Amino acid sequence: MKFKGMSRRELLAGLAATGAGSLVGTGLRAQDVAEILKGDGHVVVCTWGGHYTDVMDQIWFSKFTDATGITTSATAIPDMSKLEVMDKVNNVEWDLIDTEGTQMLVAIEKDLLEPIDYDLIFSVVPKEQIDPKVMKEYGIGSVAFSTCIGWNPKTIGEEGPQSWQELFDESKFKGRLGLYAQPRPTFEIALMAAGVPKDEIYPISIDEAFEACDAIKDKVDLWVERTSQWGVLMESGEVDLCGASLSRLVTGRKEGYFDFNFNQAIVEQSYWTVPKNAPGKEDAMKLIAWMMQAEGMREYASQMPYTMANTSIYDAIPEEHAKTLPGYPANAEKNMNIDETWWGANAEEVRTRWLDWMSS
Amino acid sequence: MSSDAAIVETDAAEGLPPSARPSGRPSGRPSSGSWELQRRRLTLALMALPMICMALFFLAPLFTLLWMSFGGWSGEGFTLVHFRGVVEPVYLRLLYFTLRLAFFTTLACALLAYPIAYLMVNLPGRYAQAMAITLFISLWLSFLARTFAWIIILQRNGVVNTILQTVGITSGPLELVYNEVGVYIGMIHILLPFMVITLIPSMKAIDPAYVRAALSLGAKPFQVFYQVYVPLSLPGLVAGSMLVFTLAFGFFVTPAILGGGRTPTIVLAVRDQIQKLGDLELAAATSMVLLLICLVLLLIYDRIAGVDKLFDKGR
Repeated sequence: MKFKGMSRRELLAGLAATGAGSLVGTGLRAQDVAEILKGDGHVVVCTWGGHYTDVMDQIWFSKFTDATGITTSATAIPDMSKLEVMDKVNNVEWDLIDTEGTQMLVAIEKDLLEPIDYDLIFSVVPKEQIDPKVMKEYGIGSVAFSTCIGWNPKTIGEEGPQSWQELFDESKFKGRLGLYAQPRPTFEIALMAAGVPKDEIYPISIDEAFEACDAIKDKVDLWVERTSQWGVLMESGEVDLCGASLSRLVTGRKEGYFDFNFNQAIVEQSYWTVPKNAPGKEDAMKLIAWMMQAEGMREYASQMPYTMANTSIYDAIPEEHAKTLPGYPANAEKNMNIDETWWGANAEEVRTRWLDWMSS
Repeated sequence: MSSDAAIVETDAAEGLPPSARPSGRPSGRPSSGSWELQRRRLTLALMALPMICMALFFLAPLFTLLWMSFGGWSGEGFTLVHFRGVVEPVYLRLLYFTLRLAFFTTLACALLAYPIAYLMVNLPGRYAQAMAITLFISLWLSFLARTFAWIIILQRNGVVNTILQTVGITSGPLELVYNEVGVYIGMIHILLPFMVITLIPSMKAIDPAYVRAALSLGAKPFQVFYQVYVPLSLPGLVAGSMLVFTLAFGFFVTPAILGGGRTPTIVLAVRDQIQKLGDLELAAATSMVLLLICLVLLLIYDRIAGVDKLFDKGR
C-alpha cells in the first residue's frame, strides 16, 4: 500500500531524473547532494566480494567519489570477530561494513558500532522512501537476500513446487534435493514444510524446529556448504529441487537450466554498519546517505536480484523487469522475513545443537 | 637454541679430525680457538633471523591464543569456563570424526606415496622429472579450485560416472562425491605431494651399497626391501606422516564441500564459533585442545617410530 501512496511523486522524480537537471526525491539537485556530502577522506568498505561488490563499486562507490571527492576502496569479508580484534588493538581497518543482521547484533552486543546518522541521510533522501523495517539504530538496510524454491524444469516439469511443503512432497515431486547447510534458513524451511504459516514462525521453539528438521532430513540428498556451489549443482543436474540463493536461481533461469518462484521466499536483511572506532566513520555515514538515494538503488536492483532499502524505486523500473525482483510489491507480499533478533538471542544453543544434529 | 648450536659445533669438530685440519696457516690468520668462536658467532647470527621469525609469527600468536583461552583477552581474569564449553559431546564426536579422517588420509597417502617416491628416486632423471612435474603441478592451484575440479570429475553426470556407464561397468551413477568417499579422494589428492616430497630425500640418502650387500649375503629381494630399505627410509615416512596428519587434521574447505554436509569436522565447529557466535575465547580454547591432542599424538608416534631419527646427526 505504501508503495502506491508514493508512486506519483516517485514517477515525477523518475521522470525528472531522465531530464537534464537531475532531481533527487527531495527536490535537491545532484550538486546540492554533492555539496552536503563532500569531503576529502577515504572510506574502506568491507563487503562480500565478487560480482556483488563490483556492481556496488560501479553504481555507488566510484560515482560517490566523483561527486564528493571522498575516495573509497572495497575489501572482504565481514567478520565480527575480526572487527572485535581490530577494535581491541585500536586499529579498525573498516569504515563501513555490509553486515548480516545477526552479525550486526553480535557487534552491538560487543559495543563495536556507531549509531547511524539519520539526520544526514534524511537531508539527502526523503524519510518515507526508506523501508521503516530496515532502519535500525546501528544499521540501515543494505540489501536483502532471498532463499527461494527452485527446480529443474527438465526433470521436475514446468510447474515446480508451490510451497516448501510441496518441495518435500515425494508423491508430487521426485528428485534429488539440496539445501544450504546452515540452521538459518533451514529452520524456517522445515517449519513451513511442517505447515507452520509464514507469519507464525517466530518465536521458534528450538525443539519443534529440530523435530521439523528430522522430518525432512532423509529427503535432503545434499547439504550445500557454500552458495558458490549452487551454480555447478544446478547446471550439472546434481540437484533437481532446492532451496537456494535467488541470485543463483536467476542465473539458472536465464541460462535455462533451472526455474524458481517467489512463494514463501525467505528474506534475510543485511545492514550497513559503521564501526565505532573507524577512522573514516563520518565519511562512511556520507557514503551510506549517498547509497540510500533512489537512483542508485534502482540501478542496483535492476542488476542484482536483492531487496533494497529504498522502496520507492519499483515504479520507475519497467513493469516486466520489476516483476522479477524480490522487492516488487506483489513478490514482497509472499516473502517470509528472517527475524534476526530471534537468531541473535538463540545463536549459541542453535549452533551447538545444529552441529550435533548434522553430525549424527 | 644453545644445544642446537652445540650440536653444530661438535659436528664441525667431529667432521674435521685434528689430522685433517688445515695446518701451517699463514701467521696473522685466526688461531684455532678464535676460528671456533667465529664459527659459533656465525651460527648464532644465521639462527637469529629464523628464531626471531618463529617468536614473532608463531610463538607470539600461539601465546596470545593460549592467554585468550584462559580468559585473559576479555579481562575476566583466569578462568577455565571456556574449556568447559569444549567438552560438549558434539565437539567430542566431531573430534573423533576428524581424527579418524586424518588417520586414514595419512595411511592412504603413505601407501600411495611410497611407491611413487621410490620410482622417482630410482628411475632415470628424465622420467623422474616428468613424474615430479605431474605430481607437483597440482600444488600451483588453490585448494578450492582443485576441490571444485573434483566435483566436476566425480559428480553424478561427471567424467568418471559417464565413462563407467558408457562402458557398461555400472548401470547407474555411483555416489562418489558429497559423502566420505569424495572427501577422502579430495584430501588424498591434495596431501599426497607433501608425503612424496618428504619421502624422497630420505630415500635418496639410502646408500645402494647396503642393498647390494644384503643381496650378496643371500637375502631375498623382499627381505632386503623389508629389513634394509624400509627401515632406512623410515625417517622420511615418519616426517611425511606427521606433516600430512597435521594438515589433514586442520582441513576445512575440502571436507566441507566434498562431504555434502555429511562430514562435519571439528575445524568447521571452530569456524562457527568465530564467525557465527563471535566467541573468540571458545574458539581459542578449542584450538588449544586441538593443539594439545596433536602434540600428544606426535609424542606417542615419536615413541613408536622415533622422530629423533630425523634429527639424528648420524644420518
